[in-house]
Amino acid sequence: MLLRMLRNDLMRKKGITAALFIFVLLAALLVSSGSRMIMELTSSIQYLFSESKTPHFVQMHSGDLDQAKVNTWAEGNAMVEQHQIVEMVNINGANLYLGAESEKNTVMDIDFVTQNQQFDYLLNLNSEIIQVRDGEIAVPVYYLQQNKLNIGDQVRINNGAFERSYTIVDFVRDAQMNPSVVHSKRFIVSPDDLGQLKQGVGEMEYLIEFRLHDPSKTSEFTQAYQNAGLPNAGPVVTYGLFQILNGMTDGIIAAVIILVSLVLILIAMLCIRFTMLATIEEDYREISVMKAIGISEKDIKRLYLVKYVFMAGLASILGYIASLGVNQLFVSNIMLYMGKAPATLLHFAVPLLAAGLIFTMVVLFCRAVLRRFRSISAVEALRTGSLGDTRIVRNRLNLSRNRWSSVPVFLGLKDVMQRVKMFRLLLFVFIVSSFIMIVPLNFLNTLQAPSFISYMGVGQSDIRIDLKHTNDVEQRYARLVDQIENDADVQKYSPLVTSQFKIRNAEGSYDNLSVESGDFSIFPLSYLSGNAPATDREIALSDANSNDLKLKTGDQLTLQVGGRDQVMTVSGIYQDVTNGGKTAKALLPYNKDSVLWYVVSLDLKDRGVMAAKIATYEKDFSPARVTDLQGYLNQTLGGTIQQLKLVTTLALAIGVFISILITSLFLQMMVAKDNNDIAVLRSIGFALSKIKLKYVVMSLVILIVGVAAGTILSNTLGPMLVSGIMSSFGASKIVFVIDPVQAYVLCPLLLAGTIIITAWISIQSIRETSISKMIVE
Amino acid sequence: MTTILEARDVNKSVAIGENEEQRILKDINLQLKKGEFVSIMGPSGSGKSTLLYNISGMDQISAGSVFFNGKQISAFPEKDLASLRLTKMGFIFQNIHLLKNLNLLDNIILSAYLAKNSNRDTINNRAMSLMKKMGIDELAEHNITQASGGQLQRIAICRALINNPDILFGDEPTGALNSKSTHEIMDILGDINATGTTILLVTHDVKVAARSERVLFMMDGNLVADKNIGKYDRDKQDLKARESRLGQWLTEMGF
Repeated sequence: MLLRMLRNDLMRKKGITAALFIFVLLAALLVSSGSRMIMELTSSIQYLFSESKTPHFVQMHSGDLDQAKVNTWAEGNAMVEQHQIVEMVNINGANLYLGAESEKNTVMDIDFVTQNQQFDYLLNLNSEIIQVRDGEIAVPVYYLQQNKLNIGDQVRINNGAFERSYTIVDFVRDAQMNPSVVHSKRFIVSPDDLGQLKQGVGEMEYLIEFRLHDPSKTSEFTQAYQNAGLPNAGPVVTYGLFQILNGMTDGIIAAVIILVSLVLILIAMLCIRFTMLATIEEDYREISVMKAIGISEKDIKRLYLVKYVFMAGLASILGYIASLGVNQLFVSNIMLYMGKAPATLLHFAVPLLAAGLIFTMVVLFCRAVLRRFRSISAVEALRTGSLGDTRIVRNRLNLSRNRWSSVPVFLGLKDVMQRVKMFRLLLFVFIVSSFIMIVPLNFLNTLQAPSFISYMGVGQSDIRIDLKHTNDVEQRYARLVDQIENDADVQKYSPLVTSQFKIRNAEGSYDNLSVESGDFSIFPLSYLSGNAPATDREIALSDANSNDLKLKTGDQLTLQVGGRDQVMTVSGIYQDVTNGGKTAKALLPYNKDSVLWYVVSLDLKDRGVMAAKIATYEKDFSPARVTDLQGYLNQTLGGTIQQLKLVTTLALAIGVFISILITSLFLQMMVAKDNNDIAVLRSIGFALSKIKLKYVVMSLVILIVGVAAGTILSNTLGPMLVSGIMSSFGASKIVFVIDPVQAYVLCPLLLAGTIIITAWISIQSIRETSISKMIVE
Repeated sequence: MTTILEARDVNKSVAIGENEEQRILKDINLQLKKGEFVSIMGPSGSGKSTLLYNISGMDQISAGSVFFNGKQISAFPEKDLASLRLTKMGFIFQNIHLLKNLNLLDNIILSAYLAKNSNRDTINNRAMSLMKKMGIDELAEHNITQASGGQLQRIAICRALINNPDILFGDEPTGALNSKSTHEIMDILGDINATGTTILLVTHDVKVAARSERVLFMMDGNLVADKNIGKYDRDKQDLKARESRLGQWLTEMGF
């Protein structure tokens, strides 16, 4: 009998059942996919790091290197399991050809290396250690994606005096330098080819790498290295940061997917509640008869529960199965950059459990809703007709006093005000739809805006010139500043040098701190708190450093300046997602012995000459990286922006889809519920178009309120949410750059247009029913 | 007298299974003259209400044609039928069917505001005037839960009359009322008819039918008899006699 009732009920409300089914299926699909994505991401990163034997500590260094000193120190340090010094030949992008054009506009540091012998292996797409022969080259996966390279393509180096060509035989998965936010990439050549490059072209850089017996002692080791006076002309990167950088883009996507699935299941549960209550109300007489003839409350509940249990169970299973099929779409980036780890039972179990969780949530929720049965007595049910949600609230809006609107518009407005509780579901959906449409859009605009550079710890300028470390870099820097000073096309410029200083820690010893020196007023940053340093006793810290050092604006720290301790006051905190987020700014003379990089930013009087100016400075100060601001942002954030564009498009589609589905479902149910009133209106002369207009007005009123609330939330909760995600990367307070036309006009119009059409189509069922039949019933 | 409503060979069938149909109305032919007061009677399932709803244009007939004021309304599109119901027809039902989310005055003026034949103040005044005539003007701001069945049916009559319809249709308008209220409502309908409004009622109550001047008798979807019983004159006070004569006739018809 249960099966027969189930079949009859499913046939009776096909549309609504189908809509609920789709929601639960999508939620199960997304939560399974999201959890699988996280499983794949963590296991792939782990596998890559394990297979490549990623170092726990890496000190980058440019300039002269006393290898013997490093070796001696490492061999005498009990924490060190293995160490090696990796030689890298840095090639100017202008001299590297991955196709017809050179990479002159690249923001990447291009380094040529040989395969490492002890650890930090560079792997291919099969997670094997790459070996290349003379004349061959392995190219980073980043370029496979960006430049669409293939095995067999040629890579050419040509600086005029030196020209070599290499055949691509493999692509490199580099645990240290995979992601696009890391501005260094390693190409693998044979030892002989590297020897030729050392002599013919490029500057030497080094990676001083260590693997520790106990990776948990990395902080202790870092301090020990810094106190040992070893080569440190470059940033330090540790294992933990490698993991974060590799997991950043896909981790954010996975988090968003799971968030969307939770929103979907919340909407599904609200829909279920609405339909269950509406069904109970329709059937209240039948329920009372069942109670009167002795059927227990438990059995009556079973009758109602069986449909939802069956639907949720089937949808969850199908959602899980579907997630196996779409898995590739979500993990393609992970597979390319990190490879596939051997599957374990957890890879299948966790997503299955996640889908099972969706099922459990739906069933538990249904049981909670069905508690209402307790309040229906056999007698009362015959008298009462309402279960609360659909009760009419009297209000003072009277037609006889209405002068400003037509009758259908008035009826629509009055209905919304009187049955406001019933519209909670629709309102929630519109708020959520607006939110999930607008927040990614605003985030994308923010990432693409030139002002985003401020989150990278630099002010907005037209051109940025990075001088590579060479033996004569000091002289080149002085020449560069001089040339810019005399360049009539330059409106203003700001030379900034970042060098290592020693900062006293809580234990009394010293850690390294990268400090940028220069005039920060020329291209100012926006600060989370405080300001740029104004005196040589002030220092501004990045947000990540501020959290790490537990210092805020107004606090003091001790810096070694010119060999002596100097107390500095923290003047302000800014955001910086580059270099692990750990930088500082001060008006101090830079440490010539430990310079990390030289940067000059400049603004032109006429942006029309930008391309020519870039070419000029590239040529005059080679090897220098000269980029325009947009190009710098594109290359740094290009991968993330592409992913976010996909997410934004999906979010727009999902927002519209959810709105259409729920509006359609809701209106169909409302029309069914309002059958009698609709018949009465038709009998007294309301045309179908007038009745439909009433429902369209109702939908639009809820939409306007929902979009307004969703927009407010997007601008308040949205930045908080994004800041929460970005804070682990150094930007804890993102302020959205909003395109008002997109956010406040196009998105609401898109929603409004689809809702009007949906509403008009959904209430077609009014036509189908005969007036007399509705009235007689 | 001119013909206001005419049915020619009207048939109505409904689907009762996948491939089965049942004929509810069979070759109905009738004419109503302007100003007539007509009742339709017959046993349950004879098709009385179906006839009412089909010849008023509320439902679509399956075959034949219906004419209202000379126009074939059975061929009208939905929009024109709605306009007809709005401006030329009024309906009252057994279960009254007022809108519970509007107060009583708003229920009355709703269709008039939609029709826009007068300005809103004029409509409000007309509604209050109708309510006063029916002795229920103090209920204007009340909700439907705050009035008796008889009072609500009077509100329904006001609603039906607000746009000065040519014809008033009623489906068992006194079916849910006590005898006192029934009497009062029938007096009101009599007064309305006296002003020239045509009335067509469905009823199973001989007391109600006796107030009309013509009775149509239906059986199994057929219009089997059409009896003129003469206009009811309240002053003559011969209602009992009319009821008796009508009752006798109905018995002969097999009711």
